[in-house]
Amino acid sequence: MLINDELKQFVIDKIVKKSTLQGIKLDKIEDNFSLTGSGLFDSMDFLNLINEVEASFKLTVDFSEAAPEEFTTLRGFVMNCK
Amino acid sequence: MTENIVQRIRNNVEIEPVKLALEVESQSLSYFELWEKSSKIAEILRSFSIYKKNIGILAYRSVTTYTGILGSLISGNTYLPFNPKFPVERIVKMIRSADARTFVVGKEFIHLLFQLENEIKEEILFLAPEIKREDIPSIKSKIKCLEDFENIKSNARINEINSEDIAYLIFTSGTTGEPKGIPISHKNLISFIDQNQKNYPLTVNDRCSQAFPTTFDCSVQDIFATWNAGACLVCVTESELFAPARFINEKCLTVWYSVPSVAMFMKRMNILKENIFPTLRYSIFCGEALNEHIAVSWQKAAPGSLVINLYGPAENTIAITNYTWKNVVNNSPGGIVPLGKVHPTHHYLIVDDELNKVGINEIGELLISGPQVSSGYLGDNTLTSKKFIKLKNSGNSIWYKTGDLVKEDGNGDLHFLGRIDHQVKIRGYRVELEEVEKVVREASGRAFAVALSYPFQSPVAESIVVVLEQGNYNSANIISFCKKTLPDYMIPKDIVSIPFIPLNNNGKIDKNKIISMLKENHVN
Repeated sequence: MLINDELKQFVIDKIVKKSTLQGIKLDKIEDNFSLTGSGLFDSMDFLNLINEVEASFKLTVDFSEAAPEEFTTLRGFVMNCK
Repeated sequence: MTENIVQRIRNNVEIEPVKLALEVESQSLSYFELWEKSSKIAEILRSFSIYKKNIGILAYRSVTTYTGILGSLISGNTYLPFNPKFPVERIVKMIRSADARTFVVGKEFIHLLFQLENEIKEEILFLAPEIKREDIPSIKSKIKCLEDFENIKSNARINEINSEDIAYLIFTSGTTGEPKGIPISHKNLISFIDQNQKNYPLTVNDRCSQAFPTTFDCSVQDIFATWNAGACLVCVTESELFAPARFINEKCLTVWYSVPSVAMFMKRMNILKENIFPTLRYSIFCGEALNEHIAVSWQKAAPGSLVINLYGPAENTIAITNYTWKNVVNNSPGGIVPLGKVHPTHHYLIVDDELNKVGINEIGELLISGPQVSSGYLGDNTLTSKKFIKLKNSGNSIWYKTGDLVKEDGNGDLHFLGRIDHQVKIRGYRVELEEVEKVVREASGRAFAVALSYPFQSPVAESIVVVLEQGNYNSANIISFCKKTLPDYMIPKDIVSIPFIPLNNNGKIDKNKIISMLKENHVN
């Protein structure tokens, strides 16, 4: 599995965990799924997700080149984790 | 008529009518256009003889939001802002508490009109100045829409406004489970605006952010400090609010104003690069503790800007102290930037439990007296008499008990050290933990629910965790219930259980012991 695929699965697992805790049923999670726009992740959850990704994948997140509407989607988040 | 903020704005319309006053969504309004639209709202309110009433602003980050606010004030009424993200149940509680029957409606709230009408069950008037009749759902209430507004002529008239008249009504979390309303008068507001302009003068050339939701009282500073100076208010879009670096630069903002959390997010995402904000001249933070390391990072990102920390409870009209960051980490208590000095228009005292003044560098509760202090809580004389007090040898002066523990250093700067009660701040919003506990008790049917700020025992709270005694309960159901009642920042991030709820020697719930138990179980 490529790191991007692993990372994507890692984020999907977090989405599923959060939706379960909040009693929200999700259909298929598409690449353009908005982490913050879905209401599942507030800004603090988003930071926690960054912390967990950095710790688990030994990488540094740098969103300085990306726009918020991009890096808050599933695909954008994964693509911008370098 | 005494001088008020509406007259100041009218003066700016006369002096520079074509100067930009507002940028929101993709629209720009000059001072003349802003007044014209707002004046039409005022005219319709007058036609219904609505004067000195509470006007609900059911609009959010749209032209209607700002023209509704100004139109309410021009007509001598009070504005009461709402947030479409709040649960309907909470919106209805606020409407009932304020006895509001007239609402200015933007498209952001149109889907809620039918539900609100059913819940309120009183005669209502809706004004929807930017919405066509065909786009309005079928409702029983009177409604004036875009076509009606096109037939109204704007004018320069301002209804009589006295200094004690209420300019706006803001609601915060209440310990009883009911949101509590804080009325702020024109005298309160103009006192703040004038002091703020002295501390950090704005000019007609400034372009100021409008990042705070209108339900957060710092938005009042955004709007009226900007329009008082004849500057341009630039509304930050919801999507950019999360990390507004691009927005600040594209819009050439000269003033940024937000909770420190926004800066913290940007720092964590590695966005705060050196000199990324060359246009900023003021970077203002308020609403929660500003960490020294965040101030250092922001100062590097905006080297031409003053980094300013403001502090003040909503009861004291937005902010009552100010501190300009000197770009030196002083290792202040908790690593928090000082609150600074109280406005010179006010008196303050730092007192012990028996209201005796404490000395320099001693910890006590901050009490404030002066023209920014509100008259009390809406319809709650008991709480008002508890928090707004008179002191011996202080004549008829009213002192507001902030509930904030502070100390004053040798330079006269105040430092924040915590709360005397169970109030916490989440992203700048005041949260009474008792209000969260009450809702979780209702949802779970449990006798005890303990709400804790998270991270535990940190000076800056990020979220809320609720602890229940072990047993049968469904976390998802509890959180779903909370969502129907509480705004998003008050909803628990997690529900955790422990074998029993420990009590201390006084028979009260022992929160320290609970935190130890959670840490033993690796709930950190």
